[in-house]
This record gives sequence, structure tokens and C-alpha cells, in this order.
Amino acid sequence: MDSDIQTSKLLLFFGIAILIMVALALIVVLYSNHAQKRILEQQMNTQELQLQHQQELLQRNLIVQEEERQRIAAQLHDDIGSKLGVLHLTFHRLRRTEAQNDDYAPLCEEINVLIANTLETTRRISHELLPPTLEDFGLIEALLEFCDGVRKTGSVEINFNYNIGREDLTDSTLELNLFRIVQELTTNTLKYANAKEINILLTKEEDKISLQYTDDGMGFDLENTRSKGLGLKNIEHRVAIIGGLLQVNSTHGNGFQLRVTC
Amino acid sequence: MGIIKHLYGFPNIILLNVSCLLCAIYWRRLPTAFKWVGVFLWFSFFIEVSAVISGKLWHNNRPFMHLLTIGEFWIWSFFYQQIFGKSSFAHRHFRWILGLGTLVIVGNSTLIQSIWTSNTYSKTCVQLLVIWYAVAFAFHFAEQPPQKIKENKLLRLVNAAILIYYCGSLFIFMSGFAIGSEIFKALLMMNVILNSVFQILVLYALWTVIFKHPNSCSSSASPS
Repeated sequence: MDSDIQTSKLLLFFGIAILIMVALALIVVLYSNHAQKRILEQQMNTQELQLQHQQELLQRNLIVQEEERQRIAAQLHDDIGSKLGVLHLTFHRLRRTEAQNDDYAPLCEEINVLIANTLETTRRISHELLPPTLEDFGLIEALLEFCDGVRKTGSVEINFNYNIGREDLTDSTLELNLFRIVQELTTNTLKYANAKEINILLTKEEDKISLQYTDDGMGFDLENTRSKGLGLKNIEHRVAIIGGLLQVNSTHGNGFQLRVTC
Repeated sequence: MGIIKHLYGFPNIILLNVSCLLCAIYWRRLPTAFKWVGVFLWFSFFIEVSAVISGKLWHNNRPFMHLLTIGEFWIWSFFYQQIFGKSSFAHRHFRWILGLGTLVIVGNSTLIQSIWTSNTYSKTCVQLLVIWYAVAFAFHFAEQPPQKIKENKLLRLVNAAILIYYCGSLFIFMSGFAIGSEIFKALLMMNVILNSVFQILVLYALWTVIFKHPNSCSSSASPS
């Protein structure tokens, strides 16, 4: 009888000891798992914040770039352009008074051409920096003008279709960014894609504006290019600025398709 | 007296067989650290079979307990040396630990507890050492950056299996065979349960590493 009690006590003692040890082991395992999860969460939060900060910087950079472009374009147009215009008119008056003097005629013609060329260059640079059509007549007219310009180069067939009016595009930031996206994409197509045709479609679906851009060029591996290409990164940030949704699709040999919805 | 019949238990032998078979067939697919786990499983299988046979032939298979002790000490030392960082204490003083441990086990078997009796002292020392390895690894792991954690997720599982089994069985083998056979049989049943947990976790880790995440664990040296 005593022996049985002794046995039971020993068994109970060892049983409790084993359970305590197993519980301690489990605590260590669970603590280790918990600590790792916490580190993982902290690292993910840090990475997310870094990414967010980086994106904000890039978006800010684009906004500053646009502001700077606008400032330079305005300076060129309003200051240098107008002064050159006055210079041109003054020169014409001078030329009229000295018209009889043949000695000055070739020199006058040379100066006249030089001033005209400088005026034209200033106007072109100013327009490239900020197309006046975009400011004065809106995105649709600016895109039509842009497509005309591309078509004149004769390197690619470009089509622009739309089913919206100017009243649907009231936000100038949206217009400017969509225009820049088309500019960026067209430059990429002309530089790298070896495409024969570009199609641009600007539509309104329910309350959303949709811009579709496709080319029939050689396409590219999207995953590899995404990490490298600054062009696509810029487009991503422009889409983020206007709060839109970007869908890009491209594979080798199947052209390029992009859609922005905002 | 003297025959260890149920060190692992019959269901565990089946699990052990499956794990051994997996290791043998897919040995090349196993990352280096898991090869040490495979070596341990094969060694355990050898000890179990030998213990059963020798128990039936000579009615005393205690020498295999001594062999098991030195075997698991060596194998787990190599396993943890493999997965610990080079700056860790266990890695830097690996030769000392191995030499000193071997000296203690052999010294105990020759001078204190002969091979025909239970080697409770050395077995306890080895178990404490393995627990220390496992706890150190668990804490070491907790401080690792996520990339490493992801890489060695399955090693963490094996480590958890080792920790649970060795912590649980510490008192069983510490008490050794000094306590009455009735109690010892009951304690051995607990050992069988703990071993089941160990075998299931190890089998799951092996299965995953072989079939789901080949090359998911990184390591630098190779057994034999």
C-alpha cells in the first residue's frame, strides 16, 4: 500500500516535471516565433515608410519640374520673346530708313534672318516646355496638335480618337499629366519600339476618364524593364499625382499597351 | 531487467522508417543542415534495431544507450555548428565542446557508469547541451533579419522539435533506471509521446524541404 502511494507520488512528480519542461520549451518556441513576427512587422513598416517617402519625393520632384518648366516657358515667351519681337520691329524701321543704301542691304538681310530664327527658336522651346494649346484649348487640342507633329516626322502612323469634350476635362493638373504621359510614351515608342502604328484613345466611362495607349512595336519584358526604366517610373508617379489607376501590359513581340483610369 | 523495449515505440518506428527512407531517396535534394538530421534519423534507426536484437540475444542492450548518447552528442553538435553563425560561441569553440563532451561521455562510460548500466550522467549532460543549443538557436533566430528567417523556416521547426523532445525527456533519462521499473515504464510511455511529436515535426520538415521548398535552407559544410 505504501509502495503504491510512493509510486503514485513519484509518477506525479515526474509527470509535473516533464510537463513543466515541455511548457518551458513551448514558451521558448512561441517567444522566438513572436519575436520574429515583430521584427518582420517592424521591417515591413520601415520599408513601407521608406517607399512612401521615396514616392512622395519623386512626385514632388515632378511637380517642381512642371512648375520650373512653366516659369522658364513664361520667361521665354513674355520676356525674351517680346524683347526679340520689339528688336525685330525696330530693326525693320531702321531697315526702311536705310533702304536706299545698298552697302547695308546684305548685312540687314542677315540680321533680319538671325532675329527671325532666334524668335522661332525661343517660341519652339517655350512651346515644348509648356504647349500653349494645352493651356488655351485643353488636352484634346494639345493631343491633336502633338499627333500632327509626330505624323509630320513620317516615322510612325499615329491615331488619336476620343469621345469626350473639353467640359469633361476641368482639372489642369490632370490634363497636363495625361499629356506628359502621352509625350513620354511616344518618345519611348519612337526610340525603342520600332513600331508602325500608335493608337491613343481618350474616353469617358461612367465618371472616369480613361487614356489608352497602344503600339505594335517589339514590346519588352515588363518585369525587367520596370526596375530599370525611369520613363515608366515617371508615368507611375504622374498617375499617382492624379490619383489614377495604371495598367501596363507588354511582352516580347506583342507591342505595348497602357491604360490610365482616373 | 536491462532490456530497453520501447525507447521509441512502434508507431514512431514507422515514422522513423518513413523519414529514413525519404532521406535515403532524396539525400541529394537535402540542404546540408538537413543531411545532419538525416544522419541522426538513420543513427536512431540503427540503435533501435540493434537494441531490439541485442536485447533478445543477450538480455542487455544498455551499451547501445551509451552509443546513442555519444552519437546524438556528435550529430547534434555538427548540426548546430552548421546552422549557427560563425561568430557564435558554439561555432567558435566547436572543437573544445566536441572534445570535452566526448571526454565526459567516454570517461563516464569507462570510469563511473559502465556500459552495462545506464549512463544517466552523460545522457543528462548531452541532453542539457542539446537544450542549450536549441534555446540559443531559438533566440539567435529571433534576432535574424526576415530574409534569413524565411530561408530557415524549416530549420526552426526542426529546432522546435528538438527542444520539445529533449526538454520533455530530460527528467525521464535523468531519473534513469534508478527508480522502480513500474514508474520507468510509465515514464518511457511519456517519452514515446514526446518522440512522436519529434518524429512528426521532423517528417513534416523533411517532406516540405524535399517536395515543396527544395534548396530553401542555406548552409556551408557537409556531413562526411
